[in-house]
Amino acid sequence: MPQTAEYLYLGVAVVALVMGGLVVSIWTRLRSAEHALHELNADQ
Amino acid sequence: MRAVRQSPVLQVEVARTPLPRRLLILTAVTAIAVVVGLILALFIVSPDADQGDVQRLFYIHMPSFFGAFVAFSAAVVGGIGYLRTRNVKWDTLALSGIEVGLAFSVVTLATGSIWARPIWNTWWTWDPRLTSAAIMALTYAAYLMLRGAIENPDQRRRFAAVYGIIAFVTVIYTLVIIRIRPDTIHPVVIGASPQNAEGTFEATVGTAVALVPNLIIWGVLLPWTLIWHRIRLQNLLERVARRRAERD
Repeated sequence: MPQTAEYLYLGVAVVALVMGGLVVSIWTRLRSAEHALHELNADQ
Repeated sequence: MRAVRQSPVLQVEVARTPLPRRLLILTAVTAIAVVVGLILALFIVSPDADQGDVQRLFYIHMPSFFGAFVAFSAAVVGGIGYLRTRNVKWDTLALSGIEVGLAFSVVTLATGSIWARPIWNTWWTWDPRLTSAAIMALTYAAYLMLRGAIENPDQRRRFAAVYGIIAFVTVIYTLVIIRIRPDTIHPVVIGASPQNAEGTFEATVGTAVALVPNLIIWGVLLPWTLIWHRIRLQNLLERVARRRAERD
């Protein structure tokens, strides 16, 4: 059997990076919007 | 009751928008399912005798394409819904579907490229299937860029709806190309592979143990969970934009 495990590890790392990136992106934008909404409420 | 968090930077209390209970449950179920799916793919099923461990990437590669298909389908539904009703909620669904679908497309392309390196002895080749998948991803990346370039909200949503519907042609083409182009080297797992296919492997009961759960996880659970979260974000952004407009 060929030794191809290092490509599997690379693949899993890239998948984690892409999907993790999407999740973090959504979460940070959500927090940012919550801050903005809070500031708008405070201004009133 | 709203959860309140003390911000260490601004030293102000920031109220978090409450996470709907159903979304919370779906998120927890999806997170557990993703871990279980990865355990099945990486540890439970046997490695392929000809390809070794890298073949396990297939259990993410193919399901992530179906995840992209589902997410881009949501964009078509959203586009049609918006053009018919002019209700912003449909535009939100379309935008969310495309953003999530694009991430799934990148996963498909990346895992395919990494698998190809030891099996095809190259990271990339301009094979019909690979080319159509790359065009599909670029088409949707262009959607996000073009959408961001239109300032008028109504015009932006109308344009995005039409673009999202038309762009789905690239998804259909990518899906069927391995069955209509005999010169592709991309293998087909379900059904007969094209004559030139390289890196084929037999879909056995053993592979189904990891493939079927991962198809459900990556093709249904994960895209819908992420789309729901993205919709929630977009609703909040719209709320902020409305409040800013009211203030100004």
